[in-house]
Amino acid sequence: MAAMSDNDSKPLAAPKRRRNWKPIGMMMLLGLGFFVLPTLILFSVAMAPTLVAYVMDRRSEKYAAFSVGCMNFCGSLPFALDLWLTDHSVDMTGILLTNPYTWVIMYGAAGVGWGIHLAAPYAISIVLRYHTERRIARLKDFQEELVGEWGREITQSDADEEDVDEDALPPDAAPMADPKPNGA
Amino acid sequence: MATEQDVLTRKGRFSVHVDKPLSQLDMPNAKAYQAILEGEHSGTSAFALLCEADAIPRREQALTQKKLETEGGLRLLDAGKIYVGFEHRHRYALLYRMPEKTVRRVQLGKLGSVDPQQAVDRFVKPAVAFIKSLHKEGLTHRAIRPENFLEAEDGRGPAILGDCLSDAPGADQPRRLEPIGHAQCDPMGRGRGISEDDFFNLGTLLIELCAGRPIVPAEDEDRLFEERLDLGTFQMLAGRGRIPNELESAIRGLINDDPSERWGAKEVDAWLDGRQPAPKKTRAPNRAPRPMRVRDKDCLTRPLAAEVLAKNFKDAVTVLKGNDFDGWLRRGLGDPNAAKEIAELFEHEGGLSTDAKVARALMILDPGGPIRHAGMTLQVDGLGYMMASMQDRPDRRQNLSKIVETRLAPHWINTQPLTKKGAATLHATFDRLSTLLGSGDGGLGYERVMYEACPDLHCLSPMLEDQLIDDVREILPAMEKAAKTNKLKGDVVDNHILAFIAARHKALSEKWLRSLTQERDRYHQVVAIVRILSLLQTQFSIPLVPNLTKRIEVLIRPIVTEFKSRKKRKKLSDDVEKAAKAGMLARILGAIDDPKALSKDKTNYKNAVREHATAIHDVSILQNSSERMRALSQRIGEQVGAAVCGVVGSLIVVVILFDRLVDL
Repeated sequence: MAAMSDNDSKPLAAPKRRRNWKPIGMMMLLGLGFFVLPTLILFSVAMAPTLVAYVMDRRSEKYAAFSVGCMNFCGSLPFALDLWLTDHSVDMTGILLTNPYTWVIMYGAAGVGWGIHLAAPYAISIVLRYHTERRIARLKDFQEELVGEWGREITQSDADEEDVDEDALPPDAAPMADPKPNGA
Repeated sequence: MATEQDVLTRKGRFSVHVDKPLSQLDMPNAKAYQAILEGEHSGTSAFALLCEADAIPRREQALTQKKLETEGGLRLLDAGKIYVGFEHRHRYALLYRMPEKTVRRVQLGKLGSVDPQQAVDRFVKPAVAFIKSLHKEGLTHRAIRPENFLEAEDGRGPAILGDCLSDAPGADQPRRLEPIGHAQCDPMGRGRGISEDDFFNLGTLLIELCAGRPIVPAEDEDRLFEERLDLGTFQMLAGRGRIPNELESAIRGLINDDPSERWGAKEVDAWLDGRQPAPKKTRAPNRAPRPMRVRDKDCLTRPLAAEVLAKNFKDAVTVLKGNDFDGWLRRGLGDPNAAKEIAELFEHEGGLSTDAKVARALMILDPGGPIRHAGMTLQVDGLGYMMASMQDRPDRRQNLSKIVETRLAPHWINTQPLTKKGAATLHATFDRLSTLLGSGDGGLGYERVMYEACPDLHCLSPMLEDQLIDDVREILPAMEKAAKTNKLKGDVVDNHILAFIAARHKALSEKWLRSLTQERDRYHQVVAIVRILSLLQTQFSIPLVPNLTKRIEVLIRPIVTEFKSRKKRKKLSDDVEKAAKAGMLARILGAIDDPKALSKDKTNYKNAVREHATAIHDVSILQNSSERMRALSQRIGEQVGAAVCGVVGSLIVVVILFDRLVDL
């Protein structure tokens, strides 16, 4: 009992009062949302292709979404500026969105983004192929040069040459740098 | 009338009239002809001794003897080789002043016995004057015998001592006239000897002249030689009543078997002046009371036992190791030291062959005797001549090589009771020769030792032999001539040529010679040959040798293919061809002398093979990389697309903002 009385005799610590920011945040967000609602509506509609690209792109880097997004934003920006600089209202948003020209511009720009995203690998492939073919040609020239200097036997010596072990070379070893003729 | 072939000419020096033979002046190995001298001795009446092609004339001595102006012997005016057109080869010629009176060769049989005083006045006095002048120059005659004197047709006046240069020293001397140690040798191995040997010959000459016949009949020569070994030369001859009383004292002094006790120039001069120097007493060899029977011969002395054992060399080891022989030496001769030395030799000298042991045992038995090895007998200074005369007989070559290899010559010098003049030099020389023969690398074996040991020897290479090359400066011109007549075979040089160059050209580095035998590949061997020949051309300022260089080009052509690099091959072939046309060996050497070229070429070849294989591998990878390429293009393309969109988008945004802000 005494112990209890000891405990009871201690004054209770005042409970820590936590300020709950959530309602304030929500209120502010709602207020902001209400304030930027026309912009929000415009971009929600305008940036739909980007969202689609984001969902479709399975790569973690999301290059498609980035390409489409960039161009899509460029197509949407003039209308957002119209909204912001004239009448930032839902009505104005409605006017803009009911104009087919707006849709053509916004989605056309997104299409250009898609176009670039899809065409770039082909262009790169052409460049790489050209580069590879040139490298193969250079290597073959080098081989001819070696044969010219040392004779056909160096092609036959390949198998005998203990220093050159085909198995020792990694199957995906990067092709050698620009061949330099042997200085002998 | 003499045709062109009848007159052999050595331009600017002498000519020999082979149509005018002088048979009375012939020597055993040289024919005499009338000769005409040009230059210094122009107008002097002369005759030439044309040496046989296989003779080994004493060239070194001729060089000095040419300068001597001495009476009593034939005066040498010139010596050198001369081209004998009808034989298509060179021969060595010795040009002597023709004696003033008509002369004939002394013939013992026709001469009859000569009065002792006349023998001294007519023969000994002039001969002594002559040989003393030779001895002063460190030379020896070694051909003093009755038949080698020339006398006037009327048999009056002093006789002239004949030639001693047309053959190896002592080679033509009858065995009976030679000191014991030389008489035991093969004629070519007698060596130049020492001045005392000439005095010995003078002593035997005197006895024969007085007797008017050979001191020893030919049919009894072997038996009497054994008697000579047992009793000593003087005792043997005295016992046979061959010594004229008037000359007994002088002959005793001259034919003393011990060279250190023999009369020399001083005693002979005193005797000729009428004084009577007392001859040192001839010590007869120590005799055993009972004989040792060796191969049916009763031997009482060590020299005779050594001689008999040497003649029965194969059985000698059994006798020498036997108890009978040991007992005979210890008790019979009272010589336990010799017995002990021989016993130790057979017990302890493990590194030596049996033949070498027997040879050394014979030296212990008879220290004054020659080197005796497997049926071959020679003096140390006769080794070179022996090697030269036996060089085309494989069994004899092997035997002589063994003598050199087992260092019998330096050992023989060590066993001599008294140190002879020049013994240290000889010892060092033979030690070096043993090393040369033993090393096998760069020594060039038998030939090198032969030319080193015999300075009189000309180059015996079959390719140059007809040109009788006796001077290293002549080698290259001779090779050029041989190349012109297609006589140069194989590697252009053979062992004889290389050994001759090495022995006569002391500046030639042993390293260069070693490279000939040590180089593992043909290329470097050829380079070594060209280097040596090039050195000769440069050092002796020998003019162009285009035929030789062309021959060397042929030699180099196949070895150029050792290079794998075609560029290098072509360059090398072109450079060598140009240099060969120019006739300059140094230029050929310059083209090929890169000690690392071949190894560099091999390394580069390996690298090329590796690079070729890598290139094939790379092409294959590149050709089979479409899948990888597609994936790569896709990844890079998407990145590039994103980048392009990012950049273009940013620019568009900036433009739009700028446009709108300007409107405001």
